[in-house]
Amino acid sequence: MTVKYWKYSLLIILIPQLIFAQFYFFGRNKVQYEKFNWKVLRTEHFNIYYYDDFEEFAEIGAKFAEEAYEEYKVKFNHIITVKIPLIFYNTHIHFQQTNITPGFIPEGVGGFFEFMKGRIVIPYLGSLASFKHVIRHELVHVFMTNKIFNILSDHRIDNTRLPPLWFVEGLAEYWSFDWDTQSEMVMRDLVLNGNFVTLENLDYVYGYIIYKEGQKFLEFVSQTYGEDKILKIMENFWRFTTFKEVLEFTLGDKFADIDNLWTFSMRQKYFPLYQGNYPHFVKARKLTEKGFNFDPAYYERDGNKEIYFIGNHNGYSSVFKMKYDIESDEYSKAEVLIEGERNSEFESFHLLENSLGLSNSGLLAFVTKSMGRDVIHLYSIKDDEITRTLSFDEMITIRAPNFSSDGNTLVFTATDKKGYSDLYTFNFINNDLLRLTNDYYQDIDPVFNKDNSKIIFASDRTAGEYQQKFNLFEYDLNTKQIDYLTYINGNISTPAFSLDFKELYFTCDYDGTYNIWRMNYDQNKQENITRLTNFVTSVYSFSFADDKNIITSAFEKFSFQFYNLNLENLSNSQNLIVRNEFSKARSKWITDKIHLPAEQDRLVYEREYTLDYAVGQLITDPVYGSRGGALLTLSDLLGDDRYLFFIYNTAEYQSEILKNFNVAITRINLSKRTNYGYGVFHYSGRRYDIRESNVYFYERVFGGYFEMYYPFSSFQRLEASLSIANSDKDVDGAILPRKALMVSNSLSFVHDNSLWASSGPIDGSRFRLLLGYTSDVKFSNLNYFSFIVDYRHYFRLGLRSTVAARAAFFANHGKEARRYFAGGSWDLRGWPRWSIRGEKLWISSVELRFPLIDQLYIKFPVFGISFFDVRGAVFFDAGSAWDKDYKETLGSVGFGIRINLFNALTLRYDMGKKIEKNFSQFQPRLFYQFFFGWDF
Amino acid sequence: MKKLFAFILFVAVTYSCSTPFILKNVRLDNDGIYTYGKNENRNFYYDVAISEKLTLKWSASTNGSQPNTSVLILNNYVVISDLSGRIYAFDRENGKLIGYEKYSGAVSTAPIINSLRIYFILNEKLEPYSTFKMFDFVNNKILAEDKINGAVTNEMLRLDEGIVVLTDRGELIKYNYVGYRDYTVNFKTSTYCNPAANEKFIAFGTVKGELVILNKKDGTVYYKEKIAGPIESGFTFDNHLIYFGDSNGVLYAFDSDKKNIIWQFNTGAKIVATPVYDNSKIIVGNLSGKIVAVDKKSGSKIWIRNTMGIFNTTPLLTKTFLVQPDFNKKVYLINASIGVIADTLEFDRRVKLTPVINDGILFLGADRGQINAYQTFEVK
Repeated sequence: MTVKYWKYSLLIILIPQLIFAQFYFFGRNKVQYEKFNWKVLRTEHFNIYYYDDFEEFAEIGAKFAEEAYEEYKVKFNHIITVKIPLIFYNTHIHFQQTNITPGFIPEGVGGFFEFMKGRIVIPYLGSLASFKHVIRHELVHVFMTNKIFNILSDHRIDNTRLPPLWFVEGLAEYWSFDWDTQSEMVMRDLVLNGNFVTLENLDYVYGYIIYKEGQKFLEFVSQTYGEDKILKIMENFWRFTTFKEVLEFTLGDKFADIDNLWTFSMRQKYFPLYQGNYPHFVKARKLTEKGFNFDPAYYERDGNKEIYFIGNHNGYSSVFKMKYDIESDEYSKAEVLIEGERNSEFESFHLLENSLGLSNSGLLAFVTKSMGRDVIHLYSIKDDEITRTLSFDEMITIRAPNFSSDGNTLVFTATDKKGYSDLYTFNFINNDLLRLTNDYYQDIDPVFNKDNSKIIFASDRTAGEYQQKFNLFEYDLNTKQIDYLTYINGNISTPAFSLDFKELYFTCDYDGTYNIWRMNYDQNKQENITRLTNFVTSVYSFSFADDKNIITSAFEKFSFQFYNLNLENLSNSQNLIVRNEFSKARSKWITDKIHLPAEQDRLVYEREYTLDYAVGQLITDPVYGSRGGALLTLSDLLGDDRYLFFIYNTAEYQSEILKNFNVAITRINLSKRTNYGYGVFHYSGRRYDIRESNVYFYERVFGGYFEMYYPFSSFQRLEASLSIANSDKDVDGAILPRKALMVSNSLSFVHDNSLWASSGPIDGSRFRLLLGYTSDVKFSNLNYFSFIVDYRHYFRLGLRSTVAARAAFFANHGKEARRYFAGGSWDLRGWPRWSIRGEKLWISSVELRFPLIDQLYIKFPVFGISFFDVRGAVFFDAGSAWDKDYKETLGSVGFGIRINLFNALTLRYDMGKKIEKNFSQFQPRLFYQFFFGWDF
Repeated sequence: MKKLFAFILFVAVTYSCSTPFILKNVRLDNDGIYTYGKNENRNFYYDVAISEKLTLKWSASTNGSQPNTSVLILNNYVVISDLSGRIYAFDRENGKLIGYEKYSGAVSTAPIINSLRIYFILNEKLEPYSTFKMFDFVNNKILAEDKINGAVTNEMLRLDEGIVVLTDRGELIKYNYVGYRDYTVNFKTSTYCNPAANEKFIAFGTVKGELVILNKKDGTVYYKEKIAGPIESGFTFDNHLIYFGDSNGVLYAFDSDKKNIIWQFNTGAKIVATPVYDNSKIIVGNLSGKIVAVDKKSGSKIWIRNTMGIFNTTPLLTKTFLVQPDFNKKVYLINASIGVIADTLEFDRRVKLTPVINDGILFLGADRGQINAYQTFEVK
């Protein structure tokens, strides 16, 4: 997996997660807003899948991939003998709709390699350099996993092992691209602020740190022990059971010595930086402490002085404002102005991207994803309301909105269906949308000049010696000419004019990290640019508060906080002056594409099905004899169309074998917004239904069903299902069998915008309303309706604590209505599991969830084991179940602890007292209950 | 009692399934191939003129795969090691398994046969060392063992006086045929290179780009200079000339007597195979799938062939054809004079073994231990 935007990877670690259970009782929806017309480009080593207008980038990507293949073939001394599926999406928004992985894809993921079928899935993020990097990164994964698989197979050793993630991702970074500003900044921050993770502990860390530390470690190995050792680490992987031993053997040193040497080399490299560079808090005043804060925009009106910004303080990204008076240096706690990521209108924000602008008249423009594309919301500070939302059919992603000084025009960048990331203006007077550029160069961060005749922007259109570096350009709206404003060997972003428009300020990574630079701005070409700050880590965005104060969003100690930087406090002696080298500039650069004969090109994709999963089982027990079955699933290459086959035999006697085949075949189609599934089934045998009384019965049931899911947005959906089943049921002891031809249908509305912590939801709400009807259309032996309403709300108390409340009512009413059940760790705690049964059931719970232990490390003599995120809960449950007449109300109170194991399973241990006798008294003793499962 | 009986039966059946490595009635003659590269020069040239016609004679397989090594031929036996720690003997005529020896680890190089002994190195599993073993194949018995620090993936060198082992960590050990060390020289530099020798010298390269030439007799350093990029290719001696390639793709001809480079030729990508030569030309393939033939005297290009493959295996050169295995599941029969591909054998697995011809039979090998024997036909 490639994490493109590292800041997002921090969010992945630190804030709660979304749950992707689209087809469970709750869960958010992965919405296929678009119907993609997939095509295939077949090259020598790849099958490249793309759609619609993305052809040009697919051909460019194919060229990158083939070049990388040739390079890695030599580097790994290895070859992949099958064609590698490479699947391109033209934007991250489309990429998030992929069905190749069932989970949600966060903003920061720039691509992934899916190990099971060897698929590489990559979105185009606007920059060809980044596109090339991600392709190369994922291809390193392909070569490495295949090489190691073959090495283990060659030695006849279990071939499912892989090196630790930090090596896997570190290698992919190390062999896919050069060390860059972002990597440097992260390592500086880790080492200088005491967050550097030693090799010993790197196995326990996730996220962007392992990418960069892994990359840096391999660089260290190459420099200290030799580049050849990297391949040898893989080639020696078969020899030992632990990676630690592999490293020791290959490098010829003790693990602790390697670790110490590496740590020393990092300190030796980064500690001297403090001689010339300084942290943000030394030269600027810190204004925020919490969460992640970006795009500050300072606004003053009626004596109120405020910073508007986009941030994330609790897991949901929102638009915030905070009072800040520069003169008195007083500021207030930030408050949410527009709460995001809870409804489809503000489905998600693009945090690290420039996505907020402020006009002189107090109109705020900010970008959110809304349904299947980005939109620009215009919010009036004066009226405290959103006055307009701009959406453009041809644009998928939008960034960097900025107003003209008269407020009549908005300039921004957007990505179209081809993948081009270009400049646009929108005029509010005549509602005219104007496209300014139309090419594959990435244009970012546009701003108007003083008289609104020109637009200054950064772009990788730099040609010549410093090709693809982001320099500043000027677009003349009258002549439509683009000219260089700078030409340096560095990357520039976020240009902003001083208040008098005589100087242009921007961030630039010329000497290692993004600092604030300045140049004069007039009619003449400027010879020099000047570095004003020398922070040890980067400034990401900034805005002027007045003529001498800048509000910065800066990276330090793995967080993004605001600082007030007074330009007068900066010493001129540390200024660095760099000359623009315009003589080295050229007009444009061109990238190469793959050229294939016409018949090989642009084939329409036809579904290619391969096996996902197959499992078989044969069991023998003394009561039921031998039984066996198998489950297998198939899906097409894009994961859109899936088939599930299930076969199982429950015969207790040889003569029953044919009669007792349990078979189910299901097809699920996820290719369009409306997902549907249908199938047929035949189940036969003796069963014990926990919803009924404790009796065994024989039932043979066969039929078919159809299900449909229509997501309104990521948060809400409609579900419908219809099934027809013929049932012959012999209840033991009954005189006559019950026959029925059952037709069941149901309609549900589901809402879920919850955020999850390690053991369950901690914020948002979840709701399901279901109406259903089941009847026996042939014999009238069965006839009942169903009603379910289940509402859960999570009242956030802090970043990691919440009060969760649940109220649910379930009812089946009619002839032979099925029973619901409760009791146990999931609902009525303390009561025997599933012991409370009835056709009607209600449950209510209130629970305080809080962090108990962040890490529990148990050291055995030979090895140690860590448990993370041990959570505590104090709960109160109440509920009841009954058939005809209400029986009694039951309840429980108590305390519990939960431990998440590998994000796959949560273990729960509860103790407390049951409330019994119609809620009139506590049981005399404590109950203790151990089970697994997520919190409600 | 039943359990005991079942256990005894299990042991008996298991034992009867394993076939001990015992070779009988063998004699060492001039026709055999007793080491990787035939002799101490590492000469992969066979003085036969084969046609492009090949007929599959038999196919056999081993438990584990082989690295880029070759089979050995001893009378009517084909001997091969594998990466799952086994040494096999097959019948040369029909591929029938004669017997095998099994150890915990990997035998990553071709064994050496001398007299009634097989010498091989076991890369021990779960241990940081390898073991040099002397195996009596008549009595199925290990006669001598010696622990070696680190891994050994470089092919051993069979000299008249003994065996040379070059470890991956740069330690060169000369054993005599009784299994004792004659001398040890430690260069403490990574070496992934199959050494070669002539009458006077042993030569190999290091990943630092050093060419190392030792006096064969006592292991003293005759020459040691950095003259190339990282060296991971095999070495071959042609009288006093040494041919090898480096990781930058440069093929070198070095005069061991004059201690200078005669010529060099850039192939464009890393070379790991051993160059092969006949009377007039040197041929070598690189990892980007290019094969070049260079004039022995001048170092000028004779022909170049580009493929989409990857050449990490040393080919076999005959009077007529170069038999070049391609890791990309092919074996090319290339006209040695003009470089035209005359025929391509397609495999369903990666081809790994250096081809060997013995008495009209061509031996090839591919992934997962596949060994194929082909009948060749001589051109009159």
